[in-house]
Amino acid sequence: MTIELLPILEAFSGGIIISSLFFITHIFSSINPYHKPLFPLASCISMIIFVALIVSSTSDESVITSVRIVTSDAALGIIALLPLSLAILTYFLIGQTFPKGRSGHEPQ
Amino acid sequence: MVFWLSLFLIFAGISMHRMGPSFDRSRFGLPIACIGVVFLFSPSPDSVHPEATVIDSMASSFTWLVCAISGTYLIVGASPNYGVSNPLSTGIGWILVISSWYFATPSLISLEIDLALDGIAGILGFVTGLLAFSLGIWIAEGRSSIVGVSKPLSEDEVRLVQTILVRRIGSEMDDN
Repeated sequence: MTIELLPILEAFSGGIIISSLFFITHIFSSINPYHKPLFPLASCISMIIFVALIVSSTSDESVITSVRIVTSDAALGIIALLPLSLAILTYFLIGQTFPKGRSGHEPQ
Repeated sequence: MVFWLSLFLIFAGISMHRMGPSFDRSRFGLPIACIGVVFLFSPSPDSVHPEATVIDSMASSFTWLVCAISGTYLIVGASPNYGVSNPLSTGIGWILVISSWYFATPSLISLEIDLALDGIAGILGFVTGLLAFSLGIWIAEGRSSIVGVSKPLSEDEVRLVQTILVRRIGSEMDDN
């Protein structure tokens, strides 16, 4: 069995694009007078542009289509692995239901 | 286009919801995220390629995700850490979480190695994007300066603070 490197790199690029899009949306939707959004926004946009250029150079498709394909690949992989997070969630929920080291009286 | 619009609405809704009650827009967060989810699963003529497989995958995960999220809310809300414990909510929450395991196990068993590698790479990419965002915040925070020194407390404010401290600490000292 051989493992191809290109699909893995494409999924990695897709993950960067998903997170950058999430943080750009987060910056705009949570903007407030105490925000300093310039540098975080610039870093996210530059990551998207950088990754889009790399991805489009390895594909015959247009930049937009290449970005859509790699983003979909990354999203598919992340969704496929999501059930594993149930194990972590269950562990924390057990901790919530049976908290350790409680003396039995509620805080005032 | 509808896929990206719904993703934008979900992201924006989560961000607004997490802003907390001191910002008025936080109450619109959950409705906006719900509209995004409805958009995501509504039939659309342009969701043919390549996002269609993502929507199918999300649809097949929808049942266990809803069970896990609602079960988590019930268990955490009824836990002794956040007030009085509620055994009924905890029990229903655990039934939902176990149901989510039941619905999620088939997709875990049939997980292909290529898809798992794509997932790991995608998560690493997400973390890389998070690091770049954190770097931007770090630079912005490093360049910011102290805006000014706040004014000293007025007579009324000093009296108010004294009253609060005497009420809180004073009564505890009396108990001891």
